[in-house]
Amino acid sequence: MRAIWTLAVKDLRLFVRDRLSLFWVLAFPLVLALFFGAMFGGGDGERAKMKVVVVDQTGGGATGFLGRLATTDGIEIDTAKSLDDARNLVRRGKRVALVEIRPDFDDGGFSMFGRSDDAAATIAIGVDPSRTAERGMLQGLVTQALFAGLGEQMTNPAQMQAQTKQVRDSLAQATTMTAAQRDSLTSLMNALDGLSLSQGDPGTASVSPMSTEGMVESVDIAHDPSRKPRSSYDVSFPSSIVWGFMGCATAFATNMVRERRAGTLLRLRVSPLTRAHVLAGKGLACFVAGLGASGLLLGFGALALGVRIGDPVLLIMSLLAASACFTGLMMVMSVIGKTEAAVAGGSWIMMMPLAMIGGGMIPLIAMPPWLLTASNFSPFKWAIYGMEGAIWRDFSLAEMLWPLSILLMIAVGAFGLGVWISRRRDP
Amino acid sequence: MLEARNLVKRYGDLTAVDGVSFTIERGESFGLLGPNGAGKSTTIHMLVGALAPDGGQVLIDGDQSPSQAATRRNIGVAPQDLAIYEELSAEENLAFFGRIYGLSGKKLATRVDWGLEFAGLAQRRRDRAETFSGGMKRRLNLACAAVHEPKILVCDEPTVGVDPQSRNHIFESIEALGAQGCTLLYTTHYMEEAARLCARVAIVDHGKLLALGTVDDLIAEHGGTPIVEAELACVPPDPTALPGTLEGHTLRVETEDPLPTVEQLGRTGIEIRRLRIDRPDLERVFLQLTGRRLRD
Ligand SMILES: Nc1ncnc2c1ncn2[C@@H]1O[C@H](COP(=O)(O)OP(=O)(O)OP(=O)(O)O)[C@@H](O)[C@H]1O
Ligand SMILES: [Mg+2]
Repeated sequence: MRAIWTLAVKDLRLFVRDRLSLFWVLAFPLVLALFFGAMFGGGDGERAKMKVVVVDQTGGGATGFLGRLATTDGIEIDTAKSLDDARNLVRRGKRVALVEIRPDFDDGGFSMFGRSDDAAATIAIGVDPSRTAERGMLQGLVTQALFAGLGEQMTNPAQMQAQTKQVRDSLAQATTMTAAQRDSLTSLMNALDGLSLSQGDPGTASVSPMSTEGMVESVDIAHDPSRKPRSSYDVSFPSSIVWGFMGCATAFATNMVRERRAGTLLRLRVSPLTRAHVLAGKGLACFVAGLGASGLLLGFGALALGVRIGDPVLLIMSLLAASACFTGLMMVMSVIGKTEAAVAGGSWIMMMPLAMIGGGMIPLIAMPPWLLTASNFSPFKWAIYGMEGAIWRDFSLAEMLWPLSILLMIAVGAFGLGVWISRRRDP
Repeated sequence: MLEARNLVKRYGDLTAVDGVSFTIERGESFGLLGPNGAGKSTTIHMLVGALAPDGGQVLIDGDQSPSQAATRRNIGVAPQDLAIYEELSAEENLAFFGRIYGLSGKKLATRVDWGLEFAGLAQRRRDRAETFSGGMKRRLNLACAAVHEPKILVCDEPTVGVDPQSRNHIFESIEALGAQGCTLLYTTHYMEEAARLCARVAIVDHGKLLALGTVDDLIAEHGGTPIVEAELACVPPDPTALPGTLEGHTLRVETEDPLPTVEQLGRTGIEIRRLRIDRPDLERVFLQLTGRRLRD
């Protein structure tokens, strides 16, 4: 064990004296983290808000909705006088989106039940074409603000019954509905009446399936505030730190080839050390370097940018597993070629696609579903997922075991494969 | 102490080492002399366990094989291709190689200091090896091989690319080790080195061991007689009165005893422009054995 440690210390020394590796392991991930973090909105301890301009054309008839929208997490609203003004703001990039509240908007929110299919929309959303990613999110937030209003009213039986009565009346007058549609909506209104009545009953007070809270959650569970990154750096740091692991793996893989070519590996083999010692020493050095680099990067993120540490124990576990995984991959990289250039080039060719689908470039959180499925084949994904699990996904230990065990499986498999190939090559 | 028995190593069609056998006694200094590509390094790699022979075997201390880690602990190797870490300082290199042979603590510290003196690098102990000259690196390479006080020290061409001063330093260091009882195996293609450092020399070429013995024995056996070569100012009227053979103005005399021959020449009264006595040496031995010179 002492011999392995001696070897590892030597390799770590060589590693920290190699400026180029340090660049890939520390500077490059840091720049990525800062760049992506700033690009997706920056930090300040709070997620950057989407700037939205609102045009209220009801003449003051949407105060409830506007109030809820203003307090919605994640967006910052101001108002414009006319639709044209708002459009110009978005067009010029001053605002990300506009929300138009049309004159026939019903602040109570119940009109949606009585709406006929061909009725015009009462709220319109216009998003900067270059920011399509935000469209879905804004729609969600607007819907949330709408439904929250609905929920408020439902907890107030008198108001509720007034509303349902109003809806029933309009249903009766609606001409574009089929009888079946009308029937089902009428019975829904009856059911709602019953619900709000039973809520008034102290005996069943605890049963409140339609409280405001429940209502909001059912609409938008993905935005549970406790489960989202507090700052964009919470997202950008884990995805950038994997590049640090990758840099370590490449550095130690090329170091191995350098030793093989320079003859120092042969020199080690004529010492009392065995091949196992030498490989274990390399592995240990790569593992420690990965841990150290990720620790430094996260530490910097936490101190300077307020990146959340989340659950420290789980975070350490995730870093250990990720570092082990990339140590295994290092072993495979080291046998890709016979020269340093071949190994460095081959490693990037092998790892680049994995990094791209695995969230090293596009954050997992912003991936379309098909890419998210593909990402399951990338070690980058599991390394990031593990870190995110500790930082902001609030993983339990059991949830954490999944990414951890995948990482460890890759670690063992890749290390074994690398050793096997190098053994076959020079017995 | 160290025995090579019928060692064979093949690379494809090429037989790099072809049935080489010799025995090195404890405390002896033994040289492998041969031109480039003779198979010296390949032989050495098999002796120290870096390369598995295709045939034959290596026995160390009677019955041990260099494939065992414990056996390798007693051997120090200074490979022909420098095996030091450029990014580490002289001190760190020595300490690293000391550690992997099990040294630690005070013992390690004294051996590192010894190594720095040995390599003449005490002044530059903290400088990285990459800042050293070729000769300094060679010396460090050798010091790293000897830092753990091995019973057998194997030096593969420790003087290539080294200036005469550094070379002298290396010779003295190696001689000092030999004086302390270290068994020495030395390869070179410089016959002067073999003659100076090695009690016994094996001459190898094309993977084969051509001759083995003390330097004197080899010269006596294969070196032929000394030659006196004189360039005469004018050819005498009766050349047959002269010893040896005359070719133009140059007279060549093969003789066991050069001095009386020179005196005899002096007595003839012929003016001699230039006189050379060519004593047999390992170079001549090699020429004799292979028909080629060691270096061409
Ligand atoms: N790894 C290898 N693959 C193929 N051929 C090799 C290999 N190593 C050595 N050889 C061949 O074996 C022969 C002996 O080489 P070796 O290095 O032992 O010579 P040497 O006596 O040490 O020469 P030098 O004085 O140049 O160091 C050479 O012809 C060389 O080309
Ligand atoms: Mg050689």
